Amino acid sequence: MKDKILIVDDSQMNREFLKEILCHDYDIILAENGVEAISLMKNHLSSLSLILLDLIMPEMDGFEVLTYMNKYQWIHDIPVMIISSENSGKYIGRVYDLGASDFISRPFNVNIVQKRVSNIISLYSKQRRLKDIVTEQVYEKESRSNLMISVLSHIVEFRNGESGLHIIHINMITEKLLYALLRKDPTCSLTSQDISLITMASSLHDIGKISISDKILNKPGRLTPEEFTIMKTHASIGGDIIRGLQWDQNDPLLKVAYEICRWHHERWDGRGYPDGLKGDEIPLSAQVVSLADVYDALTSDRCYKKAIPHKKAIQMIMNGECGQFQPMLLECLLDIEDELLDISLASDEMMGMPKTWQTQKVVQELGQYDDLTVTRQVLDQLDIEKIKSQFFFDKQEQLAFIYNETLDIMYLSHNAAKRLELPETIMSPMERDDQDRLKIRLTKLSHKAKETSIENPFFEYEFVFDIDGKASLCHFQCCAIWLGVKDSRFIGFMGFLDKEQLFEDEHPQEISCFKKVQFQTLLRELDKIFDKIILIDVLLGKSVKITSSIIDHMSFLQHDTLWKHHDMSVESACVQAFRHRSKIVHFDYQPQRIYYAISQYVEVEGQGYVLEYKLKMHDDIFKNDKQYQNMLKTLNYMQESMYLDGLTEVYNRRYLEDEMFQKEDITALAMVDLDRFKEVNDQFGHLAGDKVLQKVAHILKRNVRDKDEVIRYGGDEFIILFHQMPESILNERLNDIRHEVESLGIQDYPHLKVTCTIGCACGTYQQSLLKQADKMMYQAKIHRNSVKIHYGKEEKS
Amino acid sequence: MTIQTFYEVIGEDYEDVFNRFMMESLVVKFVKKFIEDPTFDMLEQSLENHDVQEAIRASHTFKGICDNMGFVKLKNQSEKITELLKAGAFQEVKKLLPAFKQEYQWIIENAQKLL
Repeated sequence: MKDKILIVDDSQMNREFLKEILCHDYDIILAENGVEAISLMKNHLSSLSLILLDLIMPEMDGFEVLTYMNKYQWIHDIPVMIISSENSGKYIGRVYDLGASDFISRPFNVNIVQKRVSNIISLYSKQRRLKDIVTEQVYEKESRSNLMISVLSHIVEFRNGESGLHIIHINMITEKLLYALLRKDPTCSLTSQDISLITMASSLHDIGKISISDKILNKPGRLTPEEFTIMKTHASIGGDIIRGLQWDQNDPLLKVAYEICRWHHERWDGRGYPDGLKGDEIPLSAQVVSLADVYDALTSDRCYKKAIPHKKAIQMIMNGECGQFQPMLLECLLDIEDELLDISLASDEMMGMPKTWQTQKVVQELGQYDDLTVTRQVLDQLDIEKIKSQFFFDKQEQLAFIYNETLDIMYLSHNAAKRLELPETIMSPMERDDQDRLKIRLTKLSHKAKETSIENPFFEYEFVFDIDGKASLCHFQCCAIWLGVKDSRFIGFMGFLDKEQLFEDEHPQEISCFKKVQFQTLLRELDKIFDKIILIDVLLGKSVKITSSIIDHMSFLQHDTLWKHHDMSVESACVQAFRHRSKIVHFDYQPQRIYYAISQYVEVEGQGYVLEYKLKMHDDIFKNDKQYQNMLKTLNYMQESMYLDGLTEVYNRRYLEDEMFQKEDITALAMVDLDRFKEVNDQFGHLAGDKVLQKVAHILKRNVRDKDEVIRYGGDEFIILFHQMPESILNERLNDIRHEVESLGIQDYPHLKVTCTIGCACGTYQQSLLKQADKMMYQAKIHRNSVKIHYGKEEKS
Repeated sequence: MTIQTFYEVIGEDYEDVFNRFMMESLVVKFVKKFIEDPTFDMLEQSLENHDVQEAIRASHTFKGICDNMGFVKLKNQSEKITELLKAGAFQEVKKLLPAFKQEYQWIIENAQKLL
């Protein structure tokens, strides 16, 4: 790849000329003035090898460009060669002061320009390559040791049955203690590198526990003296592990790690273990980590104990209940007391972002190398982006979230966490059980996100969430996160809430809550106005019949018959009203009638119902409206055919099953069975049989009153429902029927004779009537062509 | 007309230019580009508009271009103009203009005859 040169000159001819003589060996980009030059520099910061700069230009001249480059320290990374016809000593001196590498005055010799350009570029690119190597190595070293440390320390943590939080706590407390010490003790010789080294190494303090058996490590409750002796070996073993590494033992990180591992259980008064070191014999690193360890152990839940409140923990440490510490360090602990309280809160976030924390450190460290300014700015830019997105993410009014599927971590914006009553960082939501609502939703979102592509990662999603403790319908704008252009990897997704609709919000003031007494009064009033009132218990899927305005005696009835067989609008209206706790106005189609109906959510004694009140639509509304008549006809036909037996045109069995228990005034039920009807069919054929059935049905209908109902129950079985029938005339009526059937003559079949047997039961307890009548019928069957009636006393339910 | 004849006709030193450019074709190419270059017009325009700052910049740039092309007389004239403009002697500049323009047009006229 050719080196890139930026040529800045306001004269097109000058630019062209320079380009002409350099374009064979270099990539050339051109700028007409200083402003353009700066913006090109920003875009090519890491790829520019040289700038050829004119001094006198409009907008922003060469001096200003140099000043700007100084301000941002680009001048150290990109060489600048001035080409000018202003060749006074004053000018030349000034541009060199501003960091220019070379000055060429016009008129110039083409050869000389070419030579000087190539010299400067090769000089700088060597330096640049060196810098890249250094940067890379610093990074690599840093990330390698970080990786190693986090792997090792997490192995211990997880075996220990603790979350990764303990390590992060130790890191943070150690760092804060050390800085506090630095502030307190002017003779303290710690540098910030020392502090970051100790902090990093503090992660490893318990690495020796890897050799302690699970039984002891995770024992709930007190260890026996023998077990404790074994437990104590973890300190010296930790030190041995570090010593045993095939690494340069002079490595400062290893040195500090060794100190910490071996001596973080030593105490100031010499009563610690393993070596019983005293006072300043214990390295400072180990002293600090041991204090941090004790504090965090006290204030966290462990398998053998509950967390102790912060105040009490501090008190215990001060009283020496956890062994003696250096007095100065104890003072430091008190100094950072407030920050300690923050740590336990902040650490949840830290769990999610330890990398940022470390990156910032690296950035800080790199900042100390004066020459790495370009790299620093690239990293700064990265940090600025992070801070920027964090800012927008947190200050965002809307609920926002990011879910990283590869790490199984979810972050919620500050507002989202507050309103959803969830923590801002949610670890491992996918490890929850399958019924967990968050997991279910994330799974759905993830599925949807994976259907997108890197070119078009956006999608929308809607679900019901509890926001501010209330169920709301939430609409999210989402974006899947794909990384890498080729073979892009799915990382996760993020989104924000753009529309939310509180279920209660639609008619918040219209939710009517009643005491039972109030509700009864309301029903009485409604009853005066409306034609039909139904109370529905939507959860049970049943309508509650309202009789004599007393709800105590509400009896659960089957659904209105039409609902059961046809999914009418009524049902969805009342379910909708219930779900949205609102009021829905609709039409209700009933036999013969169209009702104007209102389904409204009400609460009676805290229990939710839907109250439907209906007003008959009067004919004059639809007068001369053929469609309305047709509609009614269709509905009536539908209603009738649904319950009519096609052959005999009496009601069918379905009618009995649906209607029977709704009629309160049925006082008798008769079962009529044709004798030896099978023989009729066999002897005369089914056509004759059908004719018999039709005739019998006709006889039955003729012999009962209009309000009584005839039902074909089975093949040759009929049922008659008598409404408010005096028992005295029942026998006579039924015998009339029997006689008529006996004398029945069928055209074309002169030899065909049928008789029937009738069993009947009286009473108001309807459920038992059918059974009782059936029993009577079978008793009468013994003689055939007879009637038997059971005059039961009033049976009470 | 050859490039050598051109420099002879306008009374300038081709050898000097060639020694700096090192290639005859490069000299020819940029003499031709000089015909199209807008800097002289910009200078004239800004003087007409009494835009002194713009005029200084244009005359300065023009000086640089002429310097590079070895148009020594034209370069000296524009240098003088730049100095006068910087000194605020606008009237003096006007006096110099006819000769300046004549020289410029002489160069353009002959440059157009280059093969």
